[in-house]
Amino acid sequence: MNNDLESLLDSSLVSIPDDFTERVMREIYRLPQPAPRQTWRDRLQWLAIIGTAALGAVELFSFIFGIWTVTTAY
Amino acid sequence: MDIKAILKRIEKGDRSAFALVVRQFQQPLFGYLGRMGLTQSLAEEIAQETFLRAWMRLDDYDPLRAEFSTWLFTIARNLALNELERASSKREVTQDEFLPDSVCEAKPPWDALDQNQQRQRLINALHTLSVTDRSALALAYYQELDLTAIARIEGCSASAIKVRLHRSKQRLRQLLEKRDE
Repeated sequence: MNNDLESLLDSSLVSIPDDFTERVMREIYRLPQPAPRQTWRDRLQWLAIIGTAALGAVELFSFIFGIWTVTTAY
Repeated sequence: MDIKAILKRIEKGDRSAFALVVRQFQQPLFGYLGRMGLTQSLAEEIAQETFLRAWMRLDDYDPLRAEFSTWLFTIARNLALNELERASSKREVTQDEFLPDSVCEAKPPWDALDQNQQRQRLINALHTLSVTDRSALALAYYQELDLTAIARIEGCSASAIKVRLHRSKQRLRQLLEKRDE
């Protein structure tokens, strides 16, 4: 029974249509090309851009705050 | 051909390379869907949808996180489970709906009869298992997936998968033996 069950489970219970690949590919050609995969390098670049932008914002705010401090002192 | 090389070709804009992915994975995918107890037409529908979703989400696939087969079978499992749950919630589904459409293949009727009867009994027995147990069992017969990969697809631990597989096989054996008597 053990072997019977194993071979039954190992056998194909449904069959693959002969034209299955062609059928899938017909649909694939109708769909847009997937976006390029993001690598760790891409992610690192994004991280660097966001980090730099944040630093820039801090600098800008401290500059504005400096001007405000000087002008309100008088 | 190595899957990484195929994916590189696709990334460069070669759509036709996806046919290699389909050819490489259609056999294990149909095997899985058959063991899930799906009909021929449903298996075809879900297999096609699996490949189309894989294409559309190809940019989500991260080779550092999982093997391509693990990722692909996760998509197939989710689609199959949704389909089976949708069917069971409808309650209109009769046991006949899950009988394979293609039990008659090009074999002599008498030779094929016993094999087809055995398959039919197996399919009926598979339907007594829960869909998640059935899925784990169906995945276990794809040689490329080890216990860790199956556990990842099923969203549980490898030891839990081991227990589920043992329990499912025991149940199937009992059911098939009972009917042999």
